[in-house]
Amino acid sequence: MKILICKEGGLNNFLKLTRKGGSCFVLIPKAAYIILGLFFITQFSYADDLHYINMLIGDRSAGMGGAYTAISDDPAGCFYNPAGIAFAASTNLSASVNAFNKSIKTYKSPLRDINGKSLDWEQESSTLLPNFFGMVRKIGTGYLGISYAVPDSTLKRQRQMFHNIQSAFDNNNIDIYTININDSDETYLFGPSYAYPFSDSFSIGLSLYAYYRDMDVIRNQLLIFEQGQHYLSNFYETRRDWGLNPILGAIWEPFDKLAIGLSFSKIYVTSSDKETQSIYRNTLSEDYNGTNNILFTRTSFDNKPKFPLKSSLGVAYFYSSRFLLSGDIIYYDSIGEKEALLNFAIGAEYYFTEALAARFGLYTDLANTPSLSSMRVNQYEHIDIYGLSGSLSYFNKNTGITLGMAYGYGDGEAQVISDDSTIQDTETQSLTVSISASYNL
Amino acid sequence: MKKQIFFLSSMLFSLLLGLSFAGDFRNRVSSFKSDYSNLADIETEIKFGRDLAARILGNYHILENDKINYYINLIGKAVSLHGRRAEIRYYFAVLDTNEINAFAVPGGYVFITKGLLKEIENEAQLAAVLGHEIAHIESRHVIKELKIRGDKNSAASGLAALIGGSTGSFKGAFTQMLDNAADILFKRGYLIKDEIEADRLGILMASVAGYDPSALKILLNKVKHFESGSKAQASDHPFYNVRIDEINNTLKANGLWGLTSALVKERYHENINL
Repeated sequence: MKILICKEGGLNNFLKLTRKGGSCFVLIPKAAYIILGLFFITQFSYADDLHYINMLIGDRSAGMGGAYTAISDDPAGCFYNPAGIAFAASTNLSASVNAFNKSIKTYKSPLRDINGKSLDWEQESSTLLPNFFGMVRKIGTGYLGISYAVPDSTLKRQRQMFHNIQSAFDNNNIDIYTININDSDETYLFGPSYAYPFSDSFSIGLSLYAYYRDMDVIRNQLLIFEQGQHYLSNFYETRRDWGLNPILGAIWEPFDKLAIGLSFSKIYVTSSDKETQSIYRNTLSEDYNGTNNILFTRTSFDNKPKFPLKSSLGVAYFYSSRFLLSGDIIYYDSIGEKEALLNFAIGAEYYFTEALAARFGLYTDLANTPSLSSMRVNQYEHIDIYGLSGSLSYFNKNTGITLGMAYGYGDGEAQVISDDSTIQDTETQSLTVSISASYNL
Repeated sequence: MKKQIFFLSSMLFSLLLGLSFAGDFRNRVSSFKSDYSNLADIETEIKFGRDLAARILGNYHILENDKINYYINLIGKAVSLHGRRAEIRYYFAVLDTNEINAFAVPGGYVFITKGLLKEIENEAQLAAVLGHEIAHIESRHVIKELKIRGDKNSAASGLAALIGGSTGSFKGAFTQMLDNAADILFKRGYLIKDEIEADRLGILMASVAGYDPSALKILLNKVKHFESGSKAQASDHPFYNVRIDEINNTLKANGLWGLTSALVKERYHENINL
């Protein structure tokens, strides 16, 4: 009766009937097809595969918008540019960052009620987690680092109930439409770094992170029609990826007060285990009368997702011992359906006193998807995000405490209804508040 | 083609290494905090020095000669009375080695080698050497270079520990600091600016105690031949000519140039009979 075949992981869900690249086909009864096409979600991104900078890493670095490739002289350098830890101000450093992140994404007017009033979908995500820990120590001539970073973490929730929604069926609108989404997706990086200073002003470093991604997607929808029929769907996806993320970097200080950093990073997934289950039941279709009105599918995948090469070029100008400026250009090459893009970040740091410093940063987090076309369906959303960040640090003896924040805003377009060419304006906002401690021994 | 690529790569790498500026412009003002005076800092310094002294005594034996050790302590404590740190109790000991060196360990521990005592000609030179080492401790040269500070009695430190989970990193780092301090004392040596400061303060302390202000200069001129071509550890006092120039400046600036005071040669040899 029904066959679900998906060739690829990524952003599929069982509601996507077709997509560019033909990655997912669902053969279902005609009546159910219509319903799915009208009411169900297409490609919500999961953690956020559609952007590359989902959470700024580190304490000092995050306050500077992530413009850290040419600085990197503390444990956060293990993530941004491992060559930088060779310029650590102390032979022993450690840092620990705890961050709370909240984001809201609003898809505008995917539904209308029977009076023609448009209704928005809202998804929220809140996470509180230790998003970075790192230590750097001098070992002989070189510097050894150990660090742990969570560059992406979401606990996405959507719990909305709509009443009296228009449907495509004459005289059979929807009394109640309930949508529940519970997605969790976290990416962890952990491993050693080593930097070797070839001279007082040139170093090369390598981080060898283990990569682990843990994702669970749970989505439930219930529609009750005014003539008594209902449609119920449940979708569950779990995914565990393991891999390696080597980061190779170099820093050169060609002139007084100037540093140039270059780093390359790429994630290689070595094993991927993904499984989906979907259940749906409807009473709209004659095909589903009686005992056959529940469909269950279960599919396993072992395709390994691919990631682009990330190339970062940074420049930092250390104007004085109180003030510095930095800027990064980050290039991601194209891979699969994801387009090549450039992100930018600039940051500044100023010490009011020996004990108090402030930082400020601006950054872009552009979408790796193409702009949407009104002539196509089932397209990835495209939202370019622009962010600002700041932090205040208080230093006392060998410790520093930093309170930081980052705010990102983006608007763009999405197609949340499967097989429907309507494009929804979409807005996203995120706020991250972090508190961190560093030891300088 | 491969040769050309290799050549160009080599040229580029040489350029990176050669045409570069070696500066300390990365240092932020937060690392310049000079307040080391609270109780936690002093306790940490003394504990650190005690552990480091124990490590030194794991590698060297104290000369088993009570008379010499007593004499060294008398002279050292006489000089240290003119120092600035009343909270430090000084201990002086002779290491039973023919290496030519003296060590100042944070917290008040001063070691001088049997080899150096053999080179010293009078009590004024001994006082100058001990004054130099006391000055390293007075000025917290190792402590400042390694940025060793107390880790308690601070609300901010407590909050940082809460955020960071524990102070385990501090304790682990403390152990590694001992390695780094030993590296300074036995291999790399002090920063030249610290050596110059120790010379200046050591001369002033020994002079105020009544010893000849030129004693250190004369001794340095005598032992500087150990700087090269010898395995003796006198190499931890590099840049002898620079130091001697600076000593001359110190003598002139403080009205000590040309002054002659007590050398006390006889008493030295009565007590130091090696």
